[in-house]
Amino acid sequence: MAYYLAVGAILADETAITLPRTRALLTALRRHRDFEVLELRAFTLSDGSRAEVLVVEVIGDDIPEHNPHGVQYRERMQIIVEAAPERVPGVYALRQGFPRLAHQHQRACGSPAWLCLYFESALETLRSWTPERFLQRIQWWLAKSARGELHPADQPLENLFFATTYELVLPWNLEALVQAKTALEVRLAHHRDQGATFRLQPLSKNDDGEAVVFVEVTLNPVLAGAVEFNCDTLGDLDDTLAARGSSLLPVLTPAVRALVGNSGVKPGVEQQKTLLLVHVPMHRSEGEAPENTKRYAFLLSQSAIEIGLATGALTKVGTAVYSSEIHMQPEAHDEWRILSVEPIDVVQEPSAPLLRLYGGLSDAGPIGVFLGAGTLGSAVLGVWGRSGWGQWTVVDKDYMRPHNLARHVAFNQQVGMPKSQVIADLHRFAVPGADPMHSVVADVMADAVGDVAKQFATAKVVIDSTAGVDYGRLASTQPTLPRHASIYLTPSGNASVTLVEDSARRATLRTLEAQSYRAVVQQDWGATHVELPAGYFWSGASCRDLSTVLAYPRVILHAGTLAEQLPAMLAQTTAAIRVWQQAAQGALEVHDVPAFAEVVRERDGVTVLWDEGLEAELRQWRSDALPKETGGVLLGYWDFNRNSLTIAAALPAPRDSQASEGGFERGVENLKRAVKEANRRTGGMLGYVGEWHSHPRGRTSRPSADDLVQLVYLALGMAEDGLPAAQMIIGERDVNISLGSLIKAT
Amino acid sequence: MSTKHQVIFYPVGNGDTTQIILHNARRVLFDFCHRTKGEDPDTPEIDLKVRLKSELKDANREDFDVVAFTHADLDHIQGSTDFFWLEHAAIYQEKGRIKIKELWLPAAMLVEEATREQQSSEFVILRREARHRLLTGKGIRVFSKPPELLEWLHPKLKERGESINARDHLFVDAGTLVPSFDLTNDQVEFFCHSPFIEHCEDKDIVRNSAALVFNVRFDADGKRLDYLEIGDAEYADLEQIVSTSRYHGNEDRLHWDLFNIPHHCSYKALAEDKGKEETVPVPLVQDLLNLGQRGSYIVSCSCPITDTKEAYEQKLPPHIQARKAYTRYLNAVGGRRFLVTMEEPNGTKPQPLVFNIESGGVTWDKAIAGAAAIITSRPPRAG
Repeated sequence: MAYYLAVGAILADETAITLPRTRALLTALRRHRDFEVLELRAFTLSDGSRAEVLVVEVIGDDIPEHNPHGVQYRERMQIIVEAAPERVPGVYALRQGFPRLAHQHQRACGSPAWLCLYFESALETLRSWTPERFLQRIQWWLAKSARGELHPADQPLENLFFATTYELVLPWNLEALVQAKTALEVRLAHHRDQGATFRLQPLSKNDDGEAVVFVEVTLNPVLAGAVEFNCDTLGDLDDTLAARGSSLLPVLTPAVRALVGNSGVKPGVEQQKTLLLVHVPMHRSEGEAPENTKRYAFLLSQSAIEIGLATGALTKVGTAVYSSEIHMQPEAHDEWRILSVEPIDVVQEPSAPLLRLYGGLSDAGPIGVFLGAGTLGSAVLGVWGRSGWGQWTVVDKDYMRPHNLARHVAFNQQVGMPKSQVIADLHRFAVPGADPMHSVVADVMADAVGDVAKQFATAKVVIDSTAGVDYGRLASTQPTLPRHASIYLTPSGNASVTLVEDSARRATLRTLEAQSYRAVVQQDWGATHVELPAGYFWSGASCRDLSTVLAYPRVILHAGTLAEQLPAMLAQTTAAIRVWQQAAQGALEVHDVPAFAEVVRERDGVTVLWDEGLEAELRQWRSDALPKETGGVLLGYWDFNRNSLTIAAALPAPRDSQASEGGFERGVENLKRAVKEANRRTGGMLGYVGEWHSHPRGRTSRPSADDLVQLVYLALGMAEDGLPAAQMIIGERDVNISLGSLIKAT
Repeated sequence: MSTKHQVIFYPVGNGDTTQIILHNARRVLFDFCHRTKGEDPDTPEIDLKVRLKSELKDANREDFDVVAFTHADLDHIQGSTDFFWLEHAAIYQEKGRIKIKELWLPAAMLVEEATREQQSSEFVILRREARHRLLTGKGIRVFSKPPELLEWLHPKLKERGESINARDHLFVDAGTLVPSFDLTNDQVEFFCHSPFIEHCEDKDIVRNSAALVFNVRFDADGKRLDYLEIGDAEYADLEQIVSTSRYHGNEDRLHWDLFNIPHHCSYKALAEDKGKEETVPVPLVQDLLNLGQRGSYIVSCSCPITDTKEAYEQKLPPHIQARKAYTRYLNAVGGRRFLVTMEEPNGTKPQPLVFNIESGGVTWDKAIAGAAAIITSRPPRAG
């Protein structure tokens, strides 16, 4: 059989191994009957760090001999371990004929096949990575590949209503623009058969839409109340203005003269309309400063040149038009008074307060950081943005990909842009009057001291909408961070979960996460909580580009619910766990889960976590069983990124258990099914982590000699998975937790 | 759904119990060896009765389609008469007994004589059951048709007013297929290698030689896979099977993808001489071993076979010298593993060996370990 040469220089013996992970792998390999270590090697990576190589042969008894993919019973692999602890060891098939299979990384021709063992990111993978499980994973990958199974978003009436098909849209910040003496222009934004929308905007460099000549008139301040413009002709309008102490011609004349300048113009043949904007400052009483300004607009069917000629502001010499100032004595004309005018609708872009007013929100919302601009995040932010609720800094490291368009508030033109930027841009495009969203393109897990951390300093709340549990667990270890809330969808989108920390952060996201799992395991609704997605599809060339089929309506359903309910939950200071789950015919059921304070114990360098709710439950089971002891299994999960064991739930004693006043022997009836079901209900999160039992009346939780024997037995068993075993004892008043692990002799 | 048959070997010490579960859910049990000490959770032997009942309950059944006793040695029938529902007497018909739709026995088990002291022995009870089923003509197959049996049968049939040929369809001769299964409906056929008629002609029946030996041929979506099921046999019996199969052009019936080796890995199934380090098989047995297919497995239904100094001196099987011989031939044909029922996954609490028979070949479905194993076992008592 022909093999590729493994990389690196051969090491004399294992004393030359320097990386702890290589050593741990070597120990696991030596204990594993299906692996044989052939060579040890090492080399230096381009960044100067060390990499060690284990050349092994692995056999797979579940690989069908005659499998169509050509995976063999015995395969030679090189395992490359890099010095950087955040790098998952790489596995390469050295046999030259090793097949091209679905889950491989891209590689150069004529080099060993690089197995893609994990769908998850390195961070997620290392959370529960043990050398033993890694070896199991290699075998699993080979067997599944061999079998082809690895696939695997009050106005008082002050003028008569009028029907118009024309409207002028004012910028939301017009006052500020006027104050700043910003040059403004009017553009025809959209022309319809029977009308048009004009927009008043700062003079822009781009020429989207046709520029429209407009003339502004600002009246002397008037008392609050109605100013009725009921005019059909420019003469009527001028009379109305005159009644208010203003006049049209003194402002109209310089405006049209400015259009022709000193050198004159030759009027075009095209018919062009002219827009007249009238500013009416309002004050409460004579002598006071105006409080606000009402605006009225009129459309004239003539061009500004024609109007100028009609008023005598302009004059025609030959074919060109000049300011009538060229004449020593300009003639006055009256023709202009009969020009017809059409009042048009004046509307304004909404500002943040207006958005809240329109949405019925009284609260402006917090200054906050929003982590994750994905499917759910973008939809919730879309709702909050349009509602004018909160001032958000959006953090996401991903960029828009074509398949995201199926369930993401984004446009096709934005494909390739950072997701956080997409959301911020869309927000600005949609509601420029709202408080702006800021975009930070960063990996929140990797950027604890960078741009994200700066945002935390001013934030009052952090919304975690990242698609994983890692950020929440990390944030729970950082007491100086602001209050957090987490929102997520189940894979099929049938349910959404909200975890809200109390304002003092006594119950952080990590314990709320664990408590939500317990509810899913124990409550009837938990049976249908995690449904498998309707399917999967490949969204790209990398093996992590496996996306789930998820109906956008479900995203919107839950995003709507969350966007409405989360502000109400954050208005309370208490912690909360709430689940919304879709029932038959689209009904949305809500389940409130009580939230308890966390219990933290350090054992052998491991942080063991549970909560007061679990403790109370075990204590209840103990008293129900008295005077006899009782017990059962513990369900939870290890997180090696945090070096923690979380005990999320416990099961009561199986029916065939043997209990007495002096001892407890846990039975097995229906246990496998119950553990499997807990695992299924929590999407694979909860698994067996150890055993619990109670001590009789008047006894402490101190482990007895029998208990230690049991712990040794459990430790030996769990060592097969490379994990320590946990043993929890409930005494009269106290609780004891012990961890047992097999110490590997070196 | 793709076809998957299973063959399961139970850890019953030096003894045999094997079950075939066909893709169509029919179940065939070869031999039954319940060790009373297996009822104690601290011994390595499995509690066979509890295990089989639990498996049947999971499958929502109370019977086996076939129970075959390869021969009447205790390590192949032990405990069977208080586990199975026997048709011939009411005392064997309590609630909870497991029924046998069809009983398979070598003719020797019907003619073997018993002394007065042996009358309560299990083989005698099974002989009564077999004779009862043969006489009533229901739920039995008898392998080979020796004159001694007919001498008993023919007068009885006459007494019942039946023709002496009335039971001929219940006999199966060596070199033929058992009519109870066929490739079309069951994706399996049982080819009978033994016993031959001459095995039973002697007054002095040698049980092991007259034992049932089958080529079990599975079909998995067009792929043919052969399982060689041998209860107990000695090398001379195997020589005879090899030469007879060749003579009749049935050499393909000697192929094996899965091989239940005879007599708990006794050297006597290989050669007369045990050998100091390793048994050298007689030529015809070598030929048989060389008919192993790529990716095949060998199973020894026995206690663990250790490679220690003392092991080489051991009289009773299993023999380390034989294991080494088997392993040598297995490696030569590109086979996978030599597995021992009492060794997997460990010698303290072995679990049944489960093999999946699929179009891709034979794969060993390993016993679970770690957390998954703890929840299926009772941990030591907590105080």
